[in-house]
Amino acid sequence: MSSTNIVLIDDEQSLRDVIEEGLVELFGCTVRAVSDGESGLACLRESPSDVLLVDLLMPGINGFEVLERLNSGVEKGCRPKRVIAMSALTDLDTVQALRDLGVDAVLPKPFSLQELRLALNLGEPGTFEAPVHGTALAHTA
Amino acid sequence: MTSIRNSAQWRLVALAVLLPIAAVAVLLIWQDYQARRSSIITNLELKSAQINAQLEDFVNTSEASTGSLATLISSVSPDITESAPKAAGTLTQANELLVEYLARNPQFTEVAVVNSAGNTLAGSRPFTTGSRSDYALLLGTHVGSGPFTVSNVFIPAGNAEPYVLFSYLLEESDEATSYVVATSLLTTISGALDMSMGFPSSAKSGIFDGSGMVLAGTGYELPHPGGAVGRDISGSAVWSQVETSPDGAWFGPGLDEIDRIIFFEFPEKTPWVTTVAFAQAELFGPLWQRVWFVSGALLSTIAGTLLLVEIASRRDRVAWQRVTRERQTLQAVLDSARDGIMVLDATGSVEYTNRRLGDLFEIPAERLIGSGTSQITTAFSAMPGLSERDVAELERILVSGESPAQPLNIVGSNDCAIQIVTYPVRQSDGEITGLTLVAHDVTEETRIHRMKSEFVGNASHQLRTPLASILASSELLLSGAGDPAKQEARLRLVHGEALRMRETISSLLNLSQIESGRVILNTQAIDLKRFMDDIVESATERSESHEFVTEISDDADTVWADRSKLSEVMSSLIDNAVKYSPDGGRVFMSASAEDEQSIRVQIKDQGVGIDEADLPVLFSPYQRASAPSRGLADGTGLGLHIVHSLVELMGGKLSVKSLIGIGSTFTFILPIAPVPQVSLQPDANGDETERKSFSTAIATVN
Repeated sequence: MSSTNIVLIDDEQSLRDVIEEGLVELFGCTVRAVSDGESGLACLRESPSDVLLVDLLMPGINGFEVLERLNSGVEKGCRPKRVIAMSALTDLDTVQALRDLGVDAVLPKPFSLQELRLALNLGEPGTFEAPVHGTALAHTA
Repeated sequence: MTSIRNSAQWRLVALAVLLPIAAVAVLLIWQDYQARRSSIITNLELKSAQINAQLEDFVNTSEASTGSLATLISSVSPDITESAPKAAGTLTQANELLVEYLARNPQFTEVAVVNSAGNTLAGSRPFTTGSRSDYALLLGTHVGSGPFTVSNVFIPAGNAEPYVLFSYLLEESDEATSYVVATSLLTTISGALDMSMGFPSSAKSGIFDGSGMVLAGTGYELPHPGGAVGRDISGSAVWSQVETSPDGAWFGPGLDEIDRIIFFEFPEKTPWVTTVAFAQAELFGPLWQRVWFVSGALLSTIAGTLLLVEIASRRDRVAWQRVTRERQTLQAVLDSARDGIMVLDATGSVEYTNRRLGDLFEIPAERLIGSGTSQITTAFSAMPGLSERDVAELERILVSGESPAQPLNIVGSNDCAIQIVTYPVRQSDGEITGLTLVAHDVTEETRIHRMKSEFVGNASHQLRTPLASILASSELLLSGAGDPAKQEARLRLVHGEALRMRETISSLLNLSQIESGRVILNTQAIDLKRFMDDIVESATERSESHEFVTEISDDADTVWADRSKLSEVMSSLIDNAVKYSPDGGRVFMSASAEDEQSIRVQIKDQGVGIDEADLPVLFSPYQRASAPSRGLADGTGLGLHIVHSLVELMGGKLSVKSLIGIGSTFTFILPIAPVPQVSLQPDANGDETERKSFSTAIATVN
């Protein structure tokens, strides 16, 4: 667990900082935190990572575009083992779109660090669970 | 729609009534004419018979009297046959006595005794004794040609009055013959014959000779050129005409005043002719009267009936006009509706449609009127947006007349969202006489609904993000990890995010206040320079990464506004400028006098700029500039709407200019002195677009 290498993309500085802090200090992960999609993709290209934590609504390249490029763009080979989307949008259409993009789990905002930890630990690749608002975690089964 | 009888049908009914009446009237007139005619002819024949009898009687009496007297005198004086007076005094005296005696009879005009040579033996004037009179000559002619009979008519020369001569043989011998001769004027005879009594006043009667000349009569001049009668009868002799048809009625040419001529013949005697003429008026006068009367009555009936028909048809027409007008009004009302409407009657055929229905379904709605379910279905199925299931459901609704359990949602022309609802057409007695199908265009509602969901999604996003930070920070704090300085930073973050959430909630409340028109302004004169300093100070606190440049003209010293609202406006615009500018960007703020009554304030950034297409809706609620230029990151989409509303509330105007990649400039103008309060109530708002967006906002909030 301590060796988990995470790329975190969120334009919201405060949230980014606090998540990074939590991941590093509480869970001992290695985190590269950036504020926009382009930088995130650059990180992924730079060196392989275990998990991508990506926000959806961002200026510039948003989360969806990042996911699309991981699926079919030049960054295809850089896709981490596990991709987790963080979003305040948890409507059915969005979830369906994320499922189509191969996202492993969706973390509905606001989420607790414990929920984040669950999402990082318990997910099995290739399965998907739609988030249910108010539940502790939306993730794979 | 029941058909209304037109006036042509009324006219047919009127004719059907009038024609038999007219036929009966003509028949009655004809019968009356025939009856009158036959009664007049009968009367004439009767009268004629009477006159003939009188005439015969007259003649017989005259002959008898001359005959009997001659016999008497002959017996008294046997020498009467002597042509020369043998015994003066005796024979001559006897002849004179005879004349004197006969002359006493008033029916004889002249009386004489003549011998066969024509010499007058005795006589009254002009039968001068010893003379040979014309009468005597005539007598002689007659004597020579056979037995002498009476009643020849003579017309004396010089237009003297015609007369009838009666004579009687006194004594016949081989040597000498004497006669008693008497004449009677035709007028005397005619007077003796009652030729006028019993006839109508206009009737004429007369005695004519064989050539048609009037010899005596009433109403005809004497002597009358008989030609006037005779000539006019087909130009040939009266006799021959009459003889061929003595009893026939004559309505020949030229006889326009004569209805009928009746001839009386005395075969043994000289033919006497009596003509009775009727003025046609006698016959036709009443006839015409009747014709006039009946046709007058008939015409009145016709006129009356036509009048009734006219009144009735006018009532129909008025009713029809009213129905037409009501129909047109209804059509106009239907056409002004925003929903597509189709009304079916009890048989399922289309009674009304409106323009909107045609627009929504791209069908010729007007041409659908009168068509049945299958035609409607065909028209609908031509629409590409309608699935087979939709068409089948539509058909089911139209055929069964049942309202769908749930509104039927289909896609109409131009991708508009249509909701189909049906209502039965119920009369006051509860009978259902049709079906109203309403195609409700819910495009706008759908759009607003979508906008509202997006707004709620946005707002919740705005609350969820800081909440996520708070949640994570508090977890970190609770875990006790990190040194006190880090813990304090986490606490500050929690505090900051809580403030952000308060901000979001406050702008939601602000919107709700503005939209319900319950904003209370506390306007006052604000020292612009000090105000701007405060604003810049707080902006600098909020964003240290941007540079704020202010420029305030000397002529812009005060502005009339609500301090807190103006502060909100400025902060909002500055935060916007900061948000959409890169770090290190400059935000320019300037204030100057627009004119003597107002101040112009500008906030200019060097940010991403706003797409031209987004500018028109920039100040509408829930609108956020599209993703590529502005990003989807922040904002409830209410900021600029609130700013715009607040500026207007304070009597100002907000405008924006922007170029992609260059930056945006927001300008608002505010008054220097108090202006009448502007309310954002819809009815007080002059701007139509504004009002629309405002009511949309209310609808959305509701």
